[in-house]
Amino acid sequence: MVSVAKRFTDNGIEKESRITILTVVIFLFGLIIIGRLFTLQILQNSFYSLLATEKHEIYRDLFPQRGSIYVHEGGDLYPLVTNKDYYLVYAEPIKIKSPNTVIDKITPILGLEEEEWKALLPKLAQNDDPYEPIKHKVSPEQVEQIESLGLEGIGFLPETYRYYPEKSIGGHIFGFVGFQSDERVGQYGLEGYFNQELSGKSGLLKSVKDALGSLVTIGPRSIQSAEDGVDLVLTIDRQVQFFACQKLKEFFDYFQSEKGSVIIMEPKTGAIIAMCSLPDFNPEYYNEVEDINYLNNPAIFYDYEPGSVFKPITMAAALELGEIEPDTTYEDTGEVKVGPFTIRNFDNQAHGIKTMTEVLELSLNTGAMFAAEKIGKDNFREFVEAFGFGQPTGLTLDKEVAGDISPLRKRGDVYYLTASFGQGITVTPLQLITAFSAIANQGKLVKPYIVSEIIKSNGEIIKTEPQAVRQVIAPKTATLLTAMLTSTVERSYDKKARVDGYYIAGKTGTASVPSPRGGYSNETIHTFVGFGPVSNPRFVMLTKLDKNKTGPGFASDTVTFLFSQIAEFLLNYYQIPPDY
Amino acid sequence: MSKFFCLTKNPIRKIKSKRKRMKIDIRVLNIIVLGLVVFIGISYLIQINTLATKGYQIRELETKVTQLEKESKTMELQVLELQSMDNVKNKVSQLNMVDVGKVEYLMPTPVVFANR
Repeated sequence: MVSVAKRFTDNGIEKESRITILTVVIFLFGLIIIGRLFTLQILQNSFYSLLATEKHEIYRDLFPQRGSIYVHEGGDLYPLVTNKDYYLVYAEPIKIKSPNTVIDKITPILGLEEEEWKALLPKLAQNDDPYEPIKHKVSPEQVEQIESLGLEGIGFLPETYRYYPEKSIGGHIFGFVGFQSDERVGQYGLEGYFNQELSGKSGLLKSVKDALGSLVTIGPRSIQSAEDGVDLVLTIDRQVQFFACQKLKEFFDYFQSEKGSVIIMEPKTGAIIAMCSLPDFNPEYYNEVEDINYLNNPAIFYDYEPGSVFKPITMAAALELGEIEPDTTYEDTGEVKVGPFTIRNFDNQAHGIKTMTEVLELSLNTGAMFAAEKIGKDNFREFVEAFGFGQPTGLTLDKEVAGDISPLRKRGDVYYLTASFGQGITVTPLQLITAFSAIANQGKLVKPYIVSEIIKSNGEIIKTEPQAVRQVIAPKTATLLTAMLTSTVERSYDKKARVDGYYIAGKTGTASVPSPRGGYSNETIHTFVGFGPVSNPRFVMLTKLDKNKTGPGFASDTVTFLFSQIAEFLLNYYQIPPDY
Repeated sequence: MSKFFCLTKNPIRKIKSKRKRMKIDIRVLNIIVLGLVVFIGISYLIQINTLATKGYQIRELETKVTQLEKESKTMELQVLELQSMDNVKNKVSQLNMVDVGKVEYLMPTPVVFANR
């Protein structure tokens, strides 16, 4: 009995000591946890603010950066289009206690108009509304100011917008990034053509949400990061583009033109050095454009009857087939009868015996028809097609049209005979300059290109190689035609396109604009296409002004000056020594 | 003498003393195990805390990197604005600079030798 009681007592003491130890251990654990919580929540409060910033990092991980657009400059890449971070300021009316105070405080910072804040006030007063956007494109500085106010129920979401450091080089090349439904989509120009590549691929986030739909900070989560869009490097020369745009604007304003374009291309490679058109738009504020048609790039979107600037194409075909020589003569009686139609020279004059070179110098329609008749309708059409007319050139800009040379397939000679001097068929300015580049490039037609490199997000670089399309005319024919075109600039009406000390080849075109009622109106489109220096052409350039309201009626008195001024700049810029 | 003989010689006494020793051993063992549990638990907590702290430090540094990247990007955009052709053009007129006039190219004179 005694031994049983003793064992009991021993067990009791043993148990008591165990409980004491356990209590001490639990107390210690509790103390450690309390200590740790104190450290985390009070001493290391800043860590929690870090958790809040995670939202931005998640955004960065999931939403790809749209690729930038660069040009080469001094061995570096210079951005013409890039991204800039802004914020969307939104409200959670459910959390807002005093909408009036919120409005009073944010209005001066966000610069809200009276109409805007008056419309916003009732929305913020709705206690059951969980979300209300206030303003897009808010700068980080403005966000900092609002944050410092410590307003409850006001939140910020990062947004990225396109940013254009150069304001005066036109928007047609780039296009813009707009909205389709809630999605940002590139439209027109490079943004439209390369939209998918520039956009990149969105990431994927798998996470747990709490009852209110917010992401649980500490919980199972997997993120598949987004893939940023590609960067584009253009063939454009920023300084040439700027100068060309400035000059075009001067002439466009002076002659009060309806449209205007300048394109400069490297004839040997097809690289576009400058492409500027008016009226244009600011891609940053594309939605403020006066007329939606201004979004279209006139250099590639609008086809027109080119007029006499097309005559060199007719001459190229006839020279190539050996039907004429530069000194082949014909008698210009001032008009040619084709069935019921009578086609006359622009000046309604008869010039007597003239050579083919003089046909270009004096821009005689009858002479162009003479050359076209020599080669026949089918041969003429084949050469027009071989020069690239009637099909898009394949330039990587949105949206290019093909032009219309279908009249050349119609029965009746009048269609191809009028086409021989550039009426009755339509071409785009880009097709025209590309065809002239073939003449400047020893008869070889090259595909124009504007993107020289595509840089992928992994650093891989895809370079665009110059692409020869076909040999349209023999080098000898190209040389003969170049001489004829040089003579045109040196001796004729087109001499205003000359640059002192240099030989330039080129031809004007003053095209009548078809009237909607049939026939032709009094409105004209002036074009000049030329290249130089003829000994080793470094550039081919097209200058064009549409429907001038003031000034002379012929291209030889308008666009030739524009060409000459830009050509002089180019010759100096490229440091090309004079020919004489 | 072998161990077997010893055990067989006085088996009851030997077993008793062994039980006593085992009883002491279990108590010590319990204390050791408890001590180990406490030690490992505390170590685990310290380790977890250290890792969490390191994680936060890394996150803080990452945020700092992001912030610096943002600042760098803002500055890059400012540089681009200053380098824009419009700005350069304005500066040219402000600084009273003039356009380049006619450029004269110097042609190397061909070397001529007199042939007696």
